[in-house]
Amino acid sequence: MNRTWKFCLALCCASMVIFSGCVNGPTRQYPKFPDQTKRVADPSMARVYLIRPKKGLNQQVPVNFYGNDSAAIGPRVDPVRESRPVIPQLGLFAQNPRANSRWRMIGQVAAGSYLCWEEPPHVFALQGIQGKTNSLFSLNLTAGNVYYLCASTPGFWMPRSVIESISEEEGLALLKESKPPDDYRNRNQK
Amino acid sequence: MKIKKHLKTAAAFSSCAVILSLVGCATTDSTTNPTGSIGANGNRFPSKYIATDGRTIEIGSRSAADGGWNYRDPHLDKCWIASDFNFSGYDTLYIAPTLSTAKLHNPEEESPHQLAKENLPIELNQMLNARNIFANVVFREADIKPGDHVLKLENTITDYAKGGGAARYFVGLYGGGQPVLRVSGKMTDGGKTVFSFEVRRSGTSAGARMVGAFKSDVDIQTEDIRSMVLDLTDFMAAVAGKYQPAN
Repeated sequence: MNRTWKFCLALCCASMVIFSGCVNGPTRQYPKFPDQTKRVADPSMARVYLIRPKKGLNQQVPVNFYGNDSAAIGPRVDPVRESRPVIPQLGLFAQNPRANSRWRMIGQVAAGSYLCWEEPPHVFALQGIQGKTNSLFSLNLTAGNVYYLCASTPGFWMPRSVIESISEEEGLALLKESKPPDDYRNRNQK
Repeated sequence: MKIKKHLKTAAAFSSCAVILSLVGCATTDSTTNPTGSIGANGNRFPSKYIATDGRTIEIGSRSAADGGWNYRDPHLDKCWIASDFNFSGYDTLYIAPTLSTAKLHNPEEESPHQLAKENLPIELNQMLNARNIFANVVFREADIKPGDHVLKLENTITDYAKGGGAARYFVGLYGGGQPVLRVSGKMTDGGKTVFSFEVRRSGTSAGARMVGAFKSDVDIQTEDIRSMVLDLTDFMAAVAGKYQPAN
């Protein structure tokens, strides 16, 4: 009995080590990544940062950020299929997104990274909690201003991505310890 | 006594293994991994580069053909570039809508095939922006600014299969049920072809092979598109001088 418990404990520890070490996917974005030396590269645009802090639950789960405004220029995303179960043994396979879905990817953000893009002024509607339509909120993007969003993935059994608006002070503090998208790191090499 | 005998056998085996492995290394280094190739003008052209994200990429050795160079890029099936062309000096890249000559196997393939046609230019745009090869990348002729020096890229899907989750569940590891995508591309400068390629992918990622039954056909197809676009844009960036040659 004692041995079995020790074995189980070792197995749990090993799996925790393996899963905590999992790389949490790439950080990529589809809109152009603006010049980071300027507060806003194009004064007629508003700048948005989506930051995912290093610390937090479910770091290995990638956060896909999508929308239907001018920044959403990536592949089509079908939010409806995300909630459908995938159990191959029962013949339930992952659904393909519909070719006419109006939602498109803005980017994917891993823990300890951020996305940044600029878009024309408009009311930017966001879903605070993934899959909860009553968690909608909006940002009134105005030209020359910078907006900070923070992404997290709480939940033990079923992680959901949560997006919230944060102050500039908090945003700047988080930015200091976060990395830009993978393709825009080490840009000093020509 | 017995132990000594075993030790001797083990030592003999291990020394044979070391010799064999060293012989293998030597062969690979000298023949299949050239660090550069000699061009017609006698200049050595590097075949390995360090990407901006730290990856070492290989574009293969080259040989003169049809007024340009054929590259033996290990990630592309065919790759030809005009001798006086290096992707630089252009203001805009116009990516034309993706064409397709692929024969679809059933009506269910129409929707993912449409997404493949749509996602190819999207992923190309994303990676070209990141590599900063062209100042502008546009998808519509109307977006080309007057007076711009423009390159046109036309992609054609020549082979397509959407794959299937059930087949991936049983034989996905061996390539069964994986989506298939073959693309033939041509880049032109005022009607003159300056770059052409052919590339094929089928469930390239480890995830597609190991847990492909849990992924949708389109998700795997998108990973395949990203893989082909990564290699294609790496080639462009290397030739355009955006990457440093590897020593």
